[in-house]
Amino acid sequence: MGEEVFIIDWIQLNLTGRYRAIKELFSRGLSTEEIISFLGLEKEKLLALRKRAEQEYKRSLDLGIDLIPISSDEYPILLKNISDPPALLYVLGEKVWLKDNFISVVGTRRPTRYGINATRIIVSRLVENGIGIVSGFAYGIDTVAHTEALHGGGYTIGVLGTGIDVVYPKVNRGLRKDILESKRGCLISEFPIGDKPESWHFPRRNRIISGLTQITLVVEASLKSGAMITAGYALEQGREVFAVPGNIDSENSQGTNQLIKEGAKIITSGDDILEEFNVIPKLTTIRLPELNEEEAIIWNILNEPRLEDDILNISGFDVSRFNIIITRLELKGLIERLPGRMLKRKDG
Amino acid sequence: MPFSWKGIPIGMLAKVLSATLLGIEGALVDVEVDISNGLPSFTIVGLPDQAVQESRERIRSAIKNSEFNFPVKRITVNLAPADIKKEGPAFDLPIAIGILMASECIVSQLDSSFLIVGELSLDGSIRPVNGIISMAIMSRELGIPIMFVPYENSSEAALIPGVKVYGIRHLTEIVQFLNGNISLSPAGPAKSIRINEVSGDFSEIKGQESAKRALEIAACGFHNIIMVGPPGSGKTMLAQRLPTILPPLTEEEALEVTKIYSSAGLLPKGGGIIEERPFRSPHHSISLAGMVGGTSNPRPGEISLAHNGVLFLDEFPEFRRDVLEALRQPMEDGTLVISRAHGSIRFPARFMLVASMNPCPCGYLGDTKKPCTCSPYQIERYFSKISGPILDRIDIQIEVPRLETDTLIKSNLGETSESIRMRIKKAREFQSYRFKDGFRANGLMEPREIKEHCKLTPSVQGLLREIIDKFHLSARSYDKLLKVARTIADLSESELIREEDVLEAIQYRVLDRKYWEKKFS
Repeated sequence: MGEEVFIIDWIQLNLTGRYRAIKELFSRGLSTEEIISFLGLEKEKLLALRKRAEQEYKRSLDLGIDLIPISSDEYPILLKNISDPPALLYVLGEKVWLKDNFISVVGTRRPTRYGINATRIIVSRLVENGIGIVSGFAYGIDTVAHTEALHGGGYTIGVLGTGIDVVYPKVNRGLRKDILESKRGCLISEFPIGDKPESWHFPRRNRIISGLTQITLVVEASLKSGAMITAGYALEQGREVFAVPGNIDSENSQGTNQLIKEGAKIITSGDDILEEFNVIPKLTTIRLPELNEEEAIIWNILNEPRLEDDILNISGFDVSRFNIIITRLELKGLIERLPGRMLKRKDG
Repeated sequence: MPFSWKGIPIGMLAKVLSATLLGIEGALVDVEVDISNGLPSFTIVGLPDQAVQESRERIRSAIKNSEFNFPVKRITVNLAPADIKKEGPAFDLPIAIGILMASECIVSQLDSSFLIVGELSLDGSIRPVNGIISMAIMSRELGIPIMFVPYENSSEAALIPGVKVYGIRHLTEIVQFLNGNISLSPAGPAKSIRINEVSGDFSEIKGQESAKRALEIAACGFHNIIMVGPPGSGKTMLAQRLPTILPPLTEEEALEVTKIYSSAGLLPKGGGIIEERPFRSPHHSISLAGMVGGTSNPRPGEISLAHNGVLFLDEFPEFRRDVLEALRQPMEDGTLVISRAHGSIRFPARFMLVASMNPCPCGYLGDTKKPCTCSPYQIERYFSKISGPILDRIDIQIEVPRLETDTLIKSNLGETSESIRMRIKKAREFQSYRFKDGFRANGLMEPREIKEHCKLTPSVQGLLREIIDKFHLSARSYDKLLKVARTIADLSESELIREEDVLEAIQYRVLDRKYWEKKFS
């Protein structure tokens, strides 16, 4: 019973939204009742909040949502240290932050091919070496990062800008299911259950993304993107910002290049990040696939993702033969197809 | 000839043969003119439409201005059979001749029957009409040896052997000829004419080797094809050149095409025979009637104008749903039947469908330079605009990327259309030899025929099973894959479908694999 009242107190505190004050008071060792009274809210408002908090608690039980107050040992330590941590986290899935090191990976919602590839390359390397991925569950780079982490068998945390039970963006329903079913990831949110995606939610939840980890990696971002806001929070919180460089004529790389100019570490491979974690990178197992002569020619040309027509030109095969070889390589699972008639080697 | 009652002449009757169009076929019409005493009047009966009704005024003026007398009597014109709707101005001339015969201005010196069509202008000169070639074909079938047609249509009618065609410029000319005062020489057949604005040659397209190969296979097996690619990747250029690698029209096909264009009034001035395969690319705002033809007076639509040629639908998902759905039946049967209260009309419509679409609404999904601004949901919705049954009738699906300039510069000049066409011709001969009963293309095979013609050795069957597992193909795409593999085998004149054929065919089924719909994974 006492436990229940205690949690409801915290829900009530979270609903006030006065994170800074709550953290300040809590760190001085005050009890929840004391904090509530210190906040000096009007009596009617307090009552209304109390009522909502009680409902919120009931719904969380129904939906199987974990509630983690800032007082809990399970509350992410790094997040506790920022100036305005949520008083309470809503969590669905495994509490994976307790298990591993994490890094935040953020970027534009409208990535180029380059951004997608860069994310895949870096994330898969990190995951392979036991680093989990925090991201914002939006589409674009976020989705690539989460998906790649799961594919690589790693941990991932999605920080939502909506109530924990809201599926947003809708097309990510598959990803949401994958994360929850994999037992290797979770979704977290500071917003009350059922909260709709409001535009002001997203910049705010970005402070949680950067706050959860020591390092925030920006893959692709235009100057005005949400990823830049996240990078700004990271610096404010005294965390490190890394960035992937890009073409100077690409709008999506202007943000990242700007960060680099301002001193962000340049990241060109997963190993650049592993260094920071003092992880000695696993040797990439170079398993040379069994190829016949023709297949080897194509395989060697594919040292980077390339346009099919270019490979065709370089290899000198006729189209018919070329297509046959490509299908063979695909059947062997060695290469894969990207939109726009691109081919690339399948990693790993 | 004069009628008489108790020796007093009371009226005159004349009969002239003419023709009208039913869809694209000619139909015989008897024009009967009766002149009798009574209050002066001029009536036309026999289901005439507005244009035929108005011909009274044209006829009256034309006769007067050609310095003949327009009889001030009671004139009744009957167009028989009375149950076919008569349309258009083509009856002007036969009615005028009928009147002049009934009033004995003309006493025909010809000893055989003849057929007349033509529109009059007020000064008596004669204007061209639509569908002459269909009427000439009808005349030959009915054994009518002589045709009088407007001068500008004469070479078109003369394409049909066995009918003597006189091209007429003016009303007085035909009157004098019939009276035996002057002689005319019959028209000679027309030269061939062009209908396509652009034709070009495959050698002009640099790069895009895969797309060209896919078009070659499509042309060879009469497979419908869809091209997916961003704006500016050359989809239209590729499609426009497809007719140049299709085998030339046979004589019979050329006549069919000319018939359709003639009846739609689309033959260029002077007429002639169409010897190139049509290429039609209607805009995506086209109406249902524009696409399939019809409304109350049936006219060939775009699908019939593309008969024996290529129907190119750019921005495929942007077409109206009902317009796309209406393509299904003709794609299966090669004809379109329009039913009307007065009976049904058949339009030939055996075309090769070439569709093109963007990979996403903004067009830049997969582009190396520009980011795609579409949300995955928008992309999902864009693809769902094409219904399954339509997609089911498209055997070949390819992606056409936008090439970078340096790729284009590095590429060699391509093969010419003519040399591709030679290969296709050989492969088609091989196909028709295999089908035994004349030309049946692989793309038109039915499930039963697929079983018969696409026999597989056990090892190829094993490979196919592996492919289906690996690429998650449906049972439907299995059949398509076989058909395309069959055509590839035909191109190298192989009786059996070999492993390579199947391996290549899978590269022309990109939509099945949906790899770009999963945008970020």
